[in-house]
Formats: sequence, C-alpha cells, structure tokens
Amino acid sequence: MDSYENNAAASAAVPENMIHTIYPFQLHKPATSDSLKIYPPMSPINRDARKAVGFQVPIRGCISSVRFHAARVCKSCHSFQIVAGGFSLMAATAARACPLCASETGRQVRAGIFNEHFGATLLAVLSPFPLLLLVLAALHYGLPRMGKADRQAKAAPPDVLLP
Amino acid sequence: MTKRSTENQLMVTAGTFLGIGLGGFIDGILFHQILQTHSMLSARFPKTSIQNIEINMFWDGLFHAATWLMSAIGVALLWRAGAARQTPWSGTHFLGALFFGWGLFNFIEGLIDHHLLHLHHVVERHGVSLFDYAFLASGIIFLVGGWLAMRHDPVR
Repeated sequence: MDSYENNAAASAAVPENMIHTIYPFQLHKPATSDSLKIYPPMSPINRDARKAVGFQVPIRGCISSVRFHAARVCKSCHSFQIVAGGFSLMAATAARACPLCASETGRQVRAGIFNEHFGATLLAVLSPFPLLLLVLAALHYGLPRMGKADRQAKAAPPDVLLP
Repeated sequence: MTKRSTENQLMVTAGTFLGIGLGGFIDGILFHQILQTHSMLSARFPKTSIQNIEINMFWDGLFHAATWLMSAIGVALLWRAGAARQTPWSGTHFLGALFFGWGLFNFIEGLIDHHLLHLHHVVERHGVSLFDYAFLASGIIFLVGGWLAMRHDPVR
C-alpha cells in the first residue's frame, strides 16, 4: 500500500460530520505536525478565525495532503481538540488584533494606544525629530550671532570724538 | 555667501536630511523588524502579548512616518539643488553629508529615546546596556566621519 492509499484509508476514519477549517496557505505545505492548523468547528474562537480568514475546506473529499493531516490527528481526537483549540486561539487573536478590529483584543489595543497618555507618548516618540530639524536649521542658515555683546555694540553710539 | 556656496549648502542639507531618514529606516528595518531586538515603546510595553506587540507596531509606524517625511524633504531639497546649475556635484561630499545625517540621527535618537526617556533600548532584554552606548558611539563616529569627508573634499 503506497502512502497515498495509506492516507486515503486512514482518512476514511474521519467522521462525516467533522468539518475543519484550514488556512489556504497551509494546503501546499508538507504534512508535518508543525504545519498543521485544523480548527474544530464548534468553538466560538474558531468562528472568529473563520470570519477573519474567510476560507473553509471540508476535510473529506479534499486533496490527499489534507486527508493525511486529518487522518493523523483524528486517531486521538481528544488531544487533537486541545492542540487545535490552542492553535485556533492563537490564530483568532492574531487575526483580529488590529487597532480597528471589532474584537476584544482590538479593543485592548485601542485602549493601549488612545488613552489619556496618547499626547505625551506621541510627543515622546516624535521628540528626536524637532531637535534634528533645529540642528539642521542651524547648519543650513547658520547659528544666530546676535549675542549680548553684539546687541550692546549695535545700540551704543559711535565712539567718535567731535571736534 | 556666494551663489555657488549656497547651492553647495543646499546639497549638504539635502544629504543630511536623507541621512537622517535612511538612518531611521536602518534602525526600524534592522532592529525593529529583522532582528526584533526592540520596538518603539518596548520598554513600556514589553513584547510578551499580542496586544503589546500591536501597540508597539502602531508607534513604530508613526516613527517610520516621521523618518519617511525626513527622506521626502531630503529628496525635495536634492531636486532643488539639482535644478540649480551652480551646484557643485561631488560624490564624496554627498556621501559625507549622508553619514553626517545618519550619525546625527543615531546620536540624538539614542540620547533621547534610549537614555533620557527610556522608551526602548537597543537590546530590550538587557535594558540599558553596552549596545546603547555602542549606538551612541556609532552616531558620533558617523558624524565626525561625515564631517571629515566633507572637509577632505572641499567643493571647488
């Protein structure tokens, strides 16, 4: 029995109602446990992940490498649920963490940025640039030479003795 | 100041602006993204959670926007210098100005962000370390090197 038949036979053991979500970029990868990202359909976190990615593949009837994934994992469904749940938790958080995302993580990111310290943080982050501009202006236009001594010399009347 | 020296000054200022911008991008691309040794606010928001990574990414973006602005000003000034007939073009002089700008960036950014405000450090897990002082030293070396290059090759 070659490896394809092996995989196909093993995948027949996958329950019919077990539909998994697979990220599209996973399909071309070799069948290693590291590349495995299959998500159980029932968890709410996984629903988030599906929404974020918008791609769903039924395991059965798909390409052989996907069958292979499913067959290997579903031999021990319980540990699969734990591993896949962990993966989906990470994937869902990562996929919906942007400052504008309507998710709990997105809300936390917004709260971390747009809070009462926003102005001070903005000032701190950009503070080197005004200083750099000042230095550049001084280099380009020259340093102001109007010191105290210069001002006094200009204000004083010419030291000329009248006859 | 003669017309010729004014045009030369414009080229030097353009080179310095570009040096600042490119120095900022080197910092951002090398340390923030490729090596990931620090981010803009990694001393305040350690990169241990996805939320903190996203927050750092936002402030990194603003920092990069500012460095982009400096580069854009540099290109505009270089364009103006190029439009003037009297601009004395010299590769060594321009390269000196670029290094001068890069050194200026490293020194001022290092001094303010790493040592005064403690927004981040070059290698965050070490805190204030030898890497921060090496960063400052690189700024001084580039500054002096750039200045010497410009002096060594006075535009005729």
